[in-house]
Amino acid sequence: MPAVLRRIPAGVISTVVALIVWQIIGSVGPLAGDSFATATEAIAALVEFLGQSDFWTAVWQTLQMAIIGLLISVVIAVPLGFLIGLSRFSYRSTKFTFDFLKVIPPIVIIPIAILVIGPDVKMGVVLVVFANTFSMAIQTAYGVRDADPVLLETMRCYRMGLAKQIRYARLPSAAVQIGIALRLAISASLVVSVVAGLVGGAGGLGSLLALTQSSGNADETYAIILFLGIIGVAVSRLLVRTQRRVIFWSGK
Amino acid sequence: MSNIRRKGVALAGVVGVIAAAALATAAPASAATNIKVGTVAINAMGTIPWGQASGVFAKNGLNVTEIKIYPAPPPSLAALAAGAVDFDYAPSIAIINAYANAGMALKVVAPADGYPAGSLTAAKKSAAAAAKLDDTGVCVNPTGGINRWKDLAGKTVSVPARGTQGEVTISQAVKADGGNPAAVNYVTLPFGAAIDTLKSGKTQAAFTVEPFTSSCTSSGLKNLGSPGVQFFTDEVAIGMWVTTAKFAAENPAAVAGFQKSIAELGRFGNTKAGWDKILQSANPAYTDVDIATARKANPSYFPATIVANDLKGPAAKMLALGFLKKPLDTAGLLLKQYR
Amino acid sequence: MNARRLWRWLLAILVAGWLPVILITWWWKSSATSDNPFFPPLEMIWEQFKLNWVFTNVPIHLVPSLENLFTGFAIAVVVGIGLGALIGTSAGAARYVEPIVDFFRSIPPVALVPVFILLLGLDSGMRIASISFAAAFPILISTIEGVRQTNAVLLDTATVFRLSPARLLWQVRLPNAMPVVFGGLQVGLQIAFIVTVASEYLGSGFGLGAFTLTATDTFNILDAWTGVLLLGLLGYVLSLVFDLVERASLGWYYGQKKLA
Repeated sequence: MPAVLRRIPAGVISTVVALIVWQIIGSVGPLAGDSFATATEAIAALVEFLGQSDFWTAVWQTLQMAIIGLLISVVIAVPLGFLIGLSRFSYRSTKFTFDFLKVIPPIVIIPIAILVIGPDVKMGVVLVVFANTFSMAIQTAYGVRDADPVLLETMRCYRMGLAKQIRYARLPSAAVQIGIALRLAISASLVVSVVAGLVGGAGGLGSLLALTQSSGNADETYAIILFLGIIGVAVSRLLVRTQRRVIFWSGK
Repeated sequence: MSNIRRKGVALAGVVGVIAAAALATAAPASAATNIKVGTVAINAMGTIPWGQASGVFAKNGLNVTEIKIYPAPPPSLAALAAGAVDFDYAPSIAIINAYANAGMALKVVAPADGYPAGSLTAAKKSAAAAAKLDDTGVCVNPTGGINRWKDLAGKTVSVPARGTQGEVTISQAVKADGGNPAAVNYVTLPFGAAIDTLKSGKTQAAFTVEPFTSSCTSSGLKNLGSPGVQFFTDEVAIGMWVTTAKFAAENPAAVAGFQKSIAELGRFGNTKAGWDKILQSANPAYTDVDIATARKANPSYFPATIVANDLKGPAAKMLALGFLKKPLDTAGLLLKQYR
Repeated sequence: MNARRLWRWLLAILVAGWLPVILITWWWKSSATSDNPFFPPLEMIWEQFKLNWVFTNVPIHLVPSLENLFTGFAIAVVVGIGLGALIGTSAGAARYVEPIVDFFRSIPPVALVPVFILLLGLDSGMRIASISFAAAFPILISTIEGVRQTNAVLLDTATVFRLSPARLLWQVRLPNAMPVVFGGLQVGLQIAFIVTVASEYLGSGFGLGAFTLTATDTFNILDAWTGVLLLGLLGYVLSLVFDLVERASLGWYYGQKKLA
């Protein structure tokens, strides 16, 4: 490979190539047409969106659902998980129930949520809470139980009370698991907020996407998908970096 | 002459001052009740933004703070039940579903749109008359081989929501033409997607309401006919404004104000100039359809009142078609004044 | 199975089961007198459930959903592992492909369904395409990572034995990657399930999701509840079956971990 090209990061090259391929697919061949947007069309539509206040209102609505839902989940799940994890009996009792509930994707309860709560932002928040609480609680409980057994044994030898055990052994191990759970929960909250809007009419980017698809506007539909992807990548990169710095003792 | 003229001017001035004083004191005298209105994106809903912009609602003590658009009536009724909106537009069939199947405590407060009395009988006799009357339609591809209602059996037809007006009226039309309504494959699509999906051949027919009925013919497709004309016999109000029984009991003044506003907006909408203003309020702001296409639509007719038959009739027909499992007493849906 | 193991097994079931039993009993009792139209008595929901799903509607709605789900998932597995194995073998290819795959993976899978509707319409072809596309990405990513992570000792041993690249891939890299790949398969299955439901919500006549949404549109609350309950149950059963398959396939890996 020419020396110049070798110095450009691989990601940049593949992104450019992907965009070119996208443009070609959209311009010639079976997919070209009104139901497919080329790279330039989608990017142009996205740029137009970025200048519209309606778009940013939708973004804010989605963020609202995600953030409020996430906060409520954390407030419920972490203390609950902590208490559950302290006792072997309570952990074993709740594990099955919570494992069952955490596997149910929130999209499944949307029909009932629409009827009970109504198709709006509140429903989105409830959906996010449903999505996050059970897995975060179980993960916190697991973190509490996962404390270094040697350390705990040593503490018991020195007759250190439960409070000290929690503070120096269980809390750090729980924090690692809470960190992992939080990372998943942040991504999940964004995704669930979009789903609540798309399928449940809760507002935000999801509802906007439903609208552009239902009016057959391929350019705008692809623009929103592009936006969602970029945001998703940005958020996950940010989370990985933050986790590494905050939970430095985990080595993960 | 000049003396009389001067007196005339003075009189006009005095009257003007009195009128201005009256208006000035009347407007902010009572605080307007804030209401939220739910609806779907069709031409007829233009009455609401127009009513707010032109002050009709304000005159009757109401302030529309939000107009929420839903892809179809059933979610809007769910939103009404959840308290997200105070008044909601729904066709009689959707209201009947909610009342019969979920026991939702709804009250019909005002008519929204429908047919002038007696017009249906004439429309049933002539396809041309039907085409000029109704705002519902079924859009098909002219080359798709669907020429009459019974041809829809075995085809895929899109409706904005299952089991409500589109599906019920089309099923009736198919049955009346000798076809098998159970053989029609209904899929759910919002109006906007319906025409595009039809064009690309993935569905064979689409239920439409204005302005999408005109959108259909302007895109080069064919309007098979009006399922509404097939279904309804002598009903006047088809689309209705509803609220929850709780809201009606707790806010009689707001309900009365809403009824007066809708009545005035209806009279306005039935005039040619008024209808154009309504169209401009709805398109393209809410429907995403350009105003030129929307103008080709049959004007909606705004009935002056609701009669008990407007609900009894559809309920009986739905029972006959199997959409309702047992007979329904619709009296509880109407406010006392309409019974 | 001697008495001691039986007893322990029974105890485990009791410990895990007492909470759900109490929760369901509480739901049953407190909803029995309910007059909220959206929270009918659990007993009535149960009756309707039996009416709907034992076994009247199973062929009409459940079978199409499952067919689409498994077909889509199978395609995703074949494409994901196949492509992932090839890409993972070359570190260079992986570096180029990963940012693109990362991008697609970050798009909420459900958001892809509108794109597929625009392209392919509303039939089961669209559903299978969206399911395969969405589910393929986690599988692809985990396969690439698993294949790349092949233990250096194993690679050296393979070089000593002069294994051909094909045999290297098939007999060394892939089996070694299996634990990581299974992680991706699990996520892929969850996504496949979610996209199956979503593709039925957004425009379909048949399928479990379509049934539930139709019931909601016509305010048939009991039917809607039975649909939601069945979907929840299905989600759990899928993950359970997956766990069993994983444990059977990776028995050797867990054994090794225990020894370490």
